[in-house]
Amino acid sequence: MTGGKALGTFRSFYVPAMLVGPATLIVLIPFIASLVVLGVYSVGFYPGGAGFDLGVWKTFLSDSYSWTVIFTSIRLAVIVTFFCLLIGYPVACALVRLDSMLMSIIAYTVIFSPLLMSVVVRSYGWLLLLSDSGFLNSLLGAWPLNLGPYRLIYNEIGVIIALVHILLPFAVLPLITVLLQQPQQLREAAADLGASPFAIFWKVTFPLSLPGVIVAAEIVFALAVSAFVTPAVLGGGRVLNLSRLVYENIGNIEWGLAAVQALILLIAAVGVLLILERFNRRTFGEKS
Amino acid sequence: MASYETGDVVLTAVEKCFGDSSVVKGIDLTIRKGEFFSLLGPSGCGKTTTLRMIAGLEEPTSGSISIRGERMNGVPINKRPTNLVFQKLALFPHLNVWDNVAFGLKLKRVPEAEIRTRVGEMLDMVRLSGFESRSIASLSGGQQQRVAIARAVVNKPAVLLLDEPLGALDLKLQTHLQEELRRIQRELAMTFVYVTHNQTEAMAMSDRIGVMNAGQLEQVGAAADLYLRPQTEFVAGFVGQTNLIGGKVTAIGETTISIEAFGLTFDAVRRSAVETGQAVTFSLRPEQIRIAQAGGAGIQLPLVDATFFGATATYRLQVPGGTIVAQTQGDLQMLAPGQTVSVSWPPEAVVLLTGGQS
Repeated sequence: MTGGKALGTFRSFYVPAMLVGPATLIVLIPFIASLVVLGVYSVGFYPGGAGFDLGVWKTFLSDSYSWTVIFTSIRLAVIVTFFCLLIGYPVACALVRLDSMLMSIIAYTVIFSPLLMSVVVRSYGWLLLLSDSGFLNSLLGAWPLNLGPYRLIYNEIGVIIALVHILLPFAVLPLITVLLQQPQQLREAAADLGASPFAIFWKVTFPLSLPGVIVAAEIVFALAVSAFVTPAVLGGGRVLNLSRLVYENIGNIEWGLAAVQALILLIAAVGVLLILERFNRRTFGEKS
Repeated sequence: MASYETGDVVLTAVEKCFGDSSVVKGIDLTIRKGEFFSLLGPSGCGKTTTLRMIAGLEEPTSGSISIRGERMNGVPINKRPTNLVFQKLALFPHLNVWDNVAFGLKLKRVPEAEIRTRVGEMLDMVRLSGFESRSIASLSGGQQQRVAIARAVVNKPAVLLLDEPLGALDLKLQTHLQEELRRIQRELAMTFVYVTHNQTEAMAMSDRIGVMNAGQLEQVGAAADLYLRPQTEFVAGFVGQTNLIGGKVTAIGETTISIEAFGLTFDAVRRSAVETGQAVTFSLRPEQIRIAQAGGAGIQLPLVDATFFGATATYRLQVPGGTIVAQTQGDLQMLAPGQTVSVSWPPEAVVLLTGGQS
């Protein structure tokens, strides 16, 4: 039956291909094209460049300042990821357990509405809240505390606070997903076997949610390491990360250097994601 | 206070409401130490809720539950001397077979060496030695079932609670695990409370069965009691097949009474107090009815229908205003529909039902 076989191939290959095809092309073509362009630019081939030359790579990688910036980018992203998970996990737990419809709607709105606002607006909002005469310092400086004012902007603290706020929803979403998938019966079973609420969390709920924690960490880290607007606004030029350098060098028409820095940013992000994926597999791949 | 001698689990006037709907409507029940007790009933009858109240997953709205003489109301689930085998098993997917079974013992800080012996023995008992480091997902349904049983039993609870744990398995495996459960229960002399909607399963395993309907306990007794001496229409109909017949008491003798139904007279053994003229319902099991060629002893009734099942044969007999079903052993000489046959039954077969109008 050639007709049946043809229809089988059609269903099993062409239909899925047509469904995912457009999205794949839109994502893949610009990604590959820009990677090629970056690669070519980074070795000296660009308008006004001198032709093949690994000098930019050598200069950048041998400069200790470059490494400071690379480590600042990664350190910022790691700290932001850590706080997003620390704050996001209890939030996700609470959201999953909400019984009342009204409470759920309010909670989800509060947590996810910032996504509807521009990052620029939110970053400037934080600038107002954290500045020397801003809301937070006024509050701390008022009676009875009479503290401060503390320097909370134009340094890493401000950047971290604002990034944690902006990226928190991206941590909460995968955590909610993984917590909702956990059958209630597993917690009941643990309780039945003698586990206190504390033991239930550490022996059942948390280990089973680790895949979600890893996904949340991956998303938040990738967004934080490449963040540009927030570090620019709240860092005020004093917090230099890789995306900031790329931006400056494009402004200075240093195409080669910008390309090298962009590629290093990509390598750093992919490297950390690969490590996290490896951890994910080791914990859950082999066993089940 | 209920004492240790009277029972392992004592429920006194236990009720449970969820919002406005009352799910369990006042249950009094004493489960004896070391017995295999089943709660049998259709879905939604409140049997699982009753089990969950014993386990501590639900608190009764009113009434009290005590285990080994100790009041359990307000005692959290993790402090109760019970363990539950869940309907959907609820094995921990991130732990292997050994760690699943050792879960409860580790929480109780049992010494490492003792955990090793007890878990080892337990896996032996459920015939899963050699599967210690296997993941739960790699086990078959029957093996997962045995891990679930081992995980609960290894803690040596005063009472093991089982919530239809065999429901999802195929018939052959069900029968096999029923025997295994019965064996484990006898070896450990542990009190088992087993919830099921399957009357065959309940009858095959239990020392005693409590039949539940619409939140109430209709009757408690051994399988034979329930089958031969049902007290309510529901029990008569749910435990096996029967003819439920409504009639009127016409005469009361010294040891027997006569009931008129369908214009026929049914004699029954006199067991409960009745009055002449009283409306009654009785049960007459199909296999208690004897059928012979026309002209024999008993009343003569026309045969409507005959179905041959191999080991048994079922006949429908015409009575004025209805039919009754009779069941006999499969016979080479099947009686043919349309002919008249002689029908009789012993007076013990006519069982008067008291409660539960349906």
